[in-house]
Amino acid sequence: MNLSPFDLAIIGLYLLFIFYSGSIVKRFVKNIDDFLLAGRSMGLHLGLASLVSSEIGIITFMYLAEAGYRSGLVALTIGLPFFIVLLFLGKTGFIIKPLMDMKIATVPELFQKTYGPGVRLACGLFMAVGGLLNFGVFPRVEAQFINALTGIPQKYLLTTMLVLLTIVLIYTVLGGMVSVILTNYIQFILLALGMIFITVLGLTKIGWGPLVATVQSEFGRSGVDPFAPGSSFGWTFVLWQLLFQLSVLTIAPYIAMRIFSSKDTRTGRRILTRSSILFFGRAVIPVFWGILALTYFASAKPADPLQALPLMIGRLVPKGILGIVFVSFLAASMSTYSSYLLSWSSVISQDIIGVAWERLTGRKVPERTQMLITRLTMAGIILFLIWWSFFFRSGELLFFYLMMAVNIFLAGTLVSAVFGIYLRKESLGLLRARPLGAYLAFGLGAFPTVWFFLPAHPPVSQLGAWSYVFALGGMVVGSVINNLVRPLRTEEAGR
Amino acid sequence: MKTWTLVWLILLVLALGGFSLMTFLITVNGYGELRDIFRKLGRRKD
Repeated sequence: MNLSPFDLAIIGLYLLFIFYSGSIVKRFVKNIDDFLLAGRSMGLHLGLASLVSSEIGIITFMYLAEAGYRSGLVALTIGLPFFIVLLFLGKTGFIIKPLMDMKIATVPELFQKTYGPGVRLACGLFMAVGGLLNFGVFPRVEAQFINALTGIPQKYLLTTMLVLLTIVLIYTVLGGMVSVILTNYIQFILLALGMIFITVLGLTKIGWGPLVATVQSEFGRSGVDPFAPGSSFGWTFVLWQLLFQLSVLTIAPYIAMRIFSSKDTRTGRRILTRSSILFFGRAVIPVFWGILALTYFASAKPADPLQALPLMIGRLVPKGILGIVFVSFLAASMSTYSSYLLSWSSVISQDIIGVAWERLTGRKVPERTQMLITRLTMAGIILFLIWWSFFFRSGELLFFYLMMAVNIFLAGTLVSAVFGIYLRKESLGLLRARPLGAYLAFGLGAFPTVWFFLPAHPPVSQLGAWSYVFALGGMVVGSVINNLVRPLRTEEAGR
Repeated sequence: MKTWTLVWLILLVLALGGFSLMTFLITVNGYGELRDIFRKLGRRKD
């Protein structure tokens, strides 16, 4: 065990505080009005803390560090698309502004309004499949991290996973809006300080010179130059990632719920602009840790590349401080799990079950039934996470697996959202966005991603970039056919 | 290769510097925003 009694005490105190904060906050929040007031009062900096802490988890460190460990300095390219896209979204308000002005909270809701309930249901189905495939590997990877960092033998992986999921579930159920604002703020400070501390510690103990020498000896030119032949991080990668991040940052429910809940459009856009710097660091710093781990273990590499980062941290960080570092990682993960669990369960319960219920019965789901469905969905997701964690294995970089899983719905959703917002004018004639276009955009956009899950496939960046071309083609062809076969009725045009 | 190495070093310094600066700003200003929320809620309770 790498943790001293002092480290364990720090972890225990942190967990007590997180769970107790809910009851402290309850003294201030008596009713729904207090709850809403707190939500509306969330300004720029608390909004930023909330967005970043829910978007950084142990899984983020693991997949980015693995990319650095297995690819070298070129993997630092990953940070640039985040920076460019967030800056673009914040400055232009592209997609975000019209949605916030229309008071629409999620993209599936936009589809209900612009294309009808069928497209909302289709979007919900694609989102649920992609989201769960992505979320499904979190517990195993994070349990591997925790066990390697603390020195718990890997044979206790399932136990660690169950403890982790139980803590997350209690945290999610206990957390109201205000306690989430408070804990996200504290979690942000902890995880940010932890990230800065490890980077500075790694740089001083390992050094930049040995790091460059190791990358050159391990990978040659392709570890340093992203445009070297055979590199996975060249122009196609940058192009795909620009489109991918544009989709994730406007569409993914766990991000949209943070942006759309800011007090006004201006604050939402300022959160996006400022977070460009934070997300740039969020990508570059863990990739750099992976390269540090490669240098640290240059002569005796661990069998599993995913273990390199936690093993290095466990050895570099002195006992006594390791507990604080561990808490910063745990803090990072709790808000991420909670946010993903709430997001995916609401997609399943509202955008799939809710829409299907309404179509079948002609009535909305009663509030109590809706609550029961959401809880049952959460329980179902937890069971799926445990099952999928043990079932799935991939030879690809974890980074590519996670990206491609959500790519199943991203290309179709982005194209349908852009057409639904900006290309609904009558003057567009046959090109006017229609439901068949959206259905084809989802289906064809998912096709290259499905190919990724087959044993032999082209390079991932090419597949990713092609999914957007396919989705665009599907939208144009589908809309033209729809407009030819079934021209827009007056009542649809008014929607 | 030397140019690329320098590019990555600059990128790392910018990322770490920017992240640290934003962390400082969020810590200081976020505390003020949090205090405001609790002050508003406390006033309603009275």
